[in-house]
Amino acid sequence: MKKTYSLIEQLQQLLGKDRVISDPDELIVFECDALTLHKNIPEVVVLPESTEEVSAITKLCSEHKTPFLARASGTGLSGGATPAKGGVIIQLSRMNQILKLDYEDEIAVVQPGVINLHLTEAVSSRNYHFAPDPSSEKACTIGGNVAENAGGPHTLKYGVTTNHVLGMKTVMPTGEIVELGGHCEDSPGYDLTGLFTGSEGTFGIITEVTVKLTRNPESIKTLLAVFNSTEDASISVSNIIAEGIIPAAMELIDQLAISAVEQHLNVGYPTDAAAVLLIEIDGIATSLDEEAERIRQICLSNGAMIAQIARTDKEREDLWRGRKETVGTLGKITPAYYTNDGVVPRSKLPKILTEAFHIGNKYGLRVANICHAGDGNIHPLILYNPDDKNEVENAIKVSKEIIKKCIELGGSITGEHGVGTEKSEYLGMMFSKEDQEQMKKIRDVFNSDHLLNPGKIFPTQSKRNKINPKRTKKLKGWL
Amino acid sequence: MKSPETIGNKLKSIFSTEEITPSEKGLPTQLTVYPSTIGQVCELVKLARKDQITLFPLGGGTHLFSYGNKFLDVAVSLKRIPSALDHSPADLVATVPAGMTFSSAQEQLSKNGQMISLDSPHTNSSTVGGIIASNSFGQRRYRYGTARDCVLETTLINSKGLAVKSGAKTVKNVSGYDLNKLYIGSFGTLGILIDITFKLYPIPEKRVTISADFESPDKALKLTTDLRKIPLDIESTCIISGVWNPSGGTNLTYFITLAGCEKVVTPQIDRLLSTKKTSPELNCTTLSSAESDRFWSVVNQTYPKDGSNAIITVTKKYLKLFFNSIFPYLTTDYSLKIFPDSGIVYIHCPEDDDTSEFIKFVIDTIRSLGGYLEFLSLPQESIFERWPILPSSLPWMKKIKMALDPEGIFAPGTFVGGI
Repeated sequence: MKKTYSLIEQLQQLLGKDRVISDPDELIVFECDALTLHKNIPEVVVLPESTEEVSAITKLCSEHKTPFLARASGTGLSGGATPAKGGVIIQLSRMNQILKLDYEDEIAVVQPGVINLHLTEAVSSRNYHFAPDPSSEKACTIGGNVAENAGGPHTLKYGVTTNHVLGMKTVMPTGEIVELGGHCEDSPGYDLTGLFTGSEGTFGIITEVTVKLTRNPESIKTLLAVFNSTEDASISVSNIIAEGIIPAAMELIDQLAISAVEQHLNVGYPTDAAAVLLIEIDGIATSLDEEAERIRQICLSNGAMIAQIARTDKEREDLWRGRKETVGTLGKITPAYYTNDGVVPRSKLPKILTEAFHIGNKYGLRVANICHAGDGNIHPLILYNPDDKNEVENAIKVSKEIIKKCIELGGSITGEHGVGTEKSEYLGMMFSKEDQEQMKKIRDVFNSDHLLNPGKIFPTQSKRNKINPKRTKKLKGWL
Repeated sequence: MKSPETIGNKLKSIFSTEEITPSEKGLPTQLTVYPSTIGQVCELVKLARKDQITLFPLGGGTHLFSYGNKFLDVAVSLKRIPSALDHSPADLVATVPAGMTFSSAQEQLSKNGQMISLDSPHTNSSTVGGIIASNSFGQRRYRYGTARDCVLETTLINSKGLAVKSGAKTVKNVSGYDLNKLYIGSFGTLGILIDITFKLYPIPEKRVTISADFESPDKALKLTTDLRKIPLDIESTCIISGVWNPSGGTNLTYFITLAGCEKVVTPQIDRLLSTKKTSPELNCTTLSSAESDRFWSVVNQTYPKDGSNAIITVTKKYLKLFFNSIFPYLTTDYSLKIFPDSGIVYIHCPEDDDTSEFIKFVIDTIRSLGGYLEFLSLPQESIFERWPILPSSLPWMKKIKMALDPEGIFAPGTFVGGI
């Protein structure tokens, strides 16, 4: 009689035992992404090294009717890489090669496990960069960026990931390998590349991406404006945009976040400020002085105590180090924090920041604010004690109320972190049942059995993810 | 196919007599309806689904393939639906009704010094919905990209006759799937767009356009490479000849538009002229902002109706190879509009006996370079498909069409690969 092999045995035959992880102790590492409130341990993790291996794995999973999902660095903040229904994690970190750099076409072809910043480093000598720059750029991967349509501080001027993706190779849940888009700027038919970008790993598994490279600006100026109130800072942001100035980046950091940064990094943010704005402009060298002065005057007219331009590269790098590592430093003043990701129309920024503060107060929790202010994308960080069940529940309530307020103000439930498991129950705040049905029809085209990354984006009947607040202490969050 | 009388009688349950007309020549439909309300559009789709009537969403008719026969039932124009543009200047965002002409939308936005970044051709007659449905673009894609870079939210009437939204009225949003990308460039095959929300840009304070004449694309394209090395606030680049060149002549004229603050743009002209060392043809014929706008308006309103018109896409690198292959065969009757930094070429071929052979040669050349081609118009007896080179993902596109339009009521058979 022919022996029947289990899925794990078949995966081991395919990849070798060293690339199949099934020891429960080792699997704990994969129980969540950077959203530590939602956890679920996979049954097995596999480490493919090629598109063909990914294809063979997905075929096996489909044959065994076992859920599976792709994961890379696990820096996502919405539970997108957490196995909501157990099953197999296809860990893509070994597919980390830059396959092609083509400066004539100004493109790169990369595997999904390439770290975001590594691509910029690889092309910087030729005066190019990869524009999407999430604060986790040192750790997050381009595959993850595409799956979540990641943003970052400089998306204000340069756009989010979808604006920089030309094509991709994907493995469908059936194992079929499909090329979408290509190296040309346009291709005929429906824009499947755009559709797949931001689909949170629920359509297919991306195994190669063709991205645009962006020429570096001739000159950069970074300005730090210091305010007595968060409201003044956010009004300045609205006024700068309303004046028709679109900086490369415009970030707001409030007092609580500033104090965490200064305690641990000492980058030069004034600790007595209620908020600072970090504003970067770039472009033709001769144009920047005038633009910087216009921005400076807007900030001063809105009550800024100081508005000054970084004089040296070191000063500029320090200012950005403070911003990009803000979240990490918060981990030193609180045992845990819950990262929110709402969006409002830019003119509603003052209102939402005030609301976030009041909502935190209502539940007795501190809320630190960092925002991609120019985009209206807020990241309130709700500080809580994971050993206190009441605080955990309140942190979730604070986040939900902030999101509800964003919707009331005409905004969105997520600007760059994705829906994942975290906000699937909130999708109805933005989209009607029919809107969601339209989306589900598309999901079912690619993922008809719902075996690929199930339990994401759309509301489910039952909460499948375990909440385990104690473990949240260990993990570092990214924005 | 049903007779116009049969369909007309069915439509009378939704539309007044004045709202139903016979379709014009060139349209693939027998009748055209002009709804006055969105509710009528929804009812029409429900009727179409029930009675298997095929619909053809119609914009300004400026990006229409010229159909020789009437194989669909009803064209749907949204031009008569009264609706206002919803502009939030402080947010640099506006929601625009699909039936509004693009020039009207731009005019209203300009009162607050803002604009939609698209500069598609024929904006006086094109509708906003038509421009998005056809993913139409102009030379400013150099700086701002295309519709996929500026559309934030859409409302679409789906095959059930219900309005569905995708996206949000914020410049950043990743809530749910980005179905906007699917609708952009879908030529009305997935539903009828009702309104579109755009991310806006400030109108540059000053635009200066500089031109240079070249004898061949090869030399002109070299300038493109040289320009990349110089930091400039370029808004658009375009190389034109023949019918698109208002100054006439057989040369290729390279136009570069700088845009930004006045104090910044003017000194850049000298910088640009530094390329003369490598491109001696570059002479500084400078157009002011007003002259520049007028010039592009003339270029963009030019649409050669005779012969064959096509849009070609290859990679930037292969643009030169493409021209090296075809240029020896181009006569002075051919017209070109090249977007050198996007690898895109509009080509107009006159109608004559040898055209078919030449077109076949062009298609084969593009296919060998991994590129694509869309015919905007072809002679009536032409043997070529509108999209002669098909993407390998076509089977998945067909599945999407089947999922969103299972009865095949939205412009069946008019899109890529017969979708």
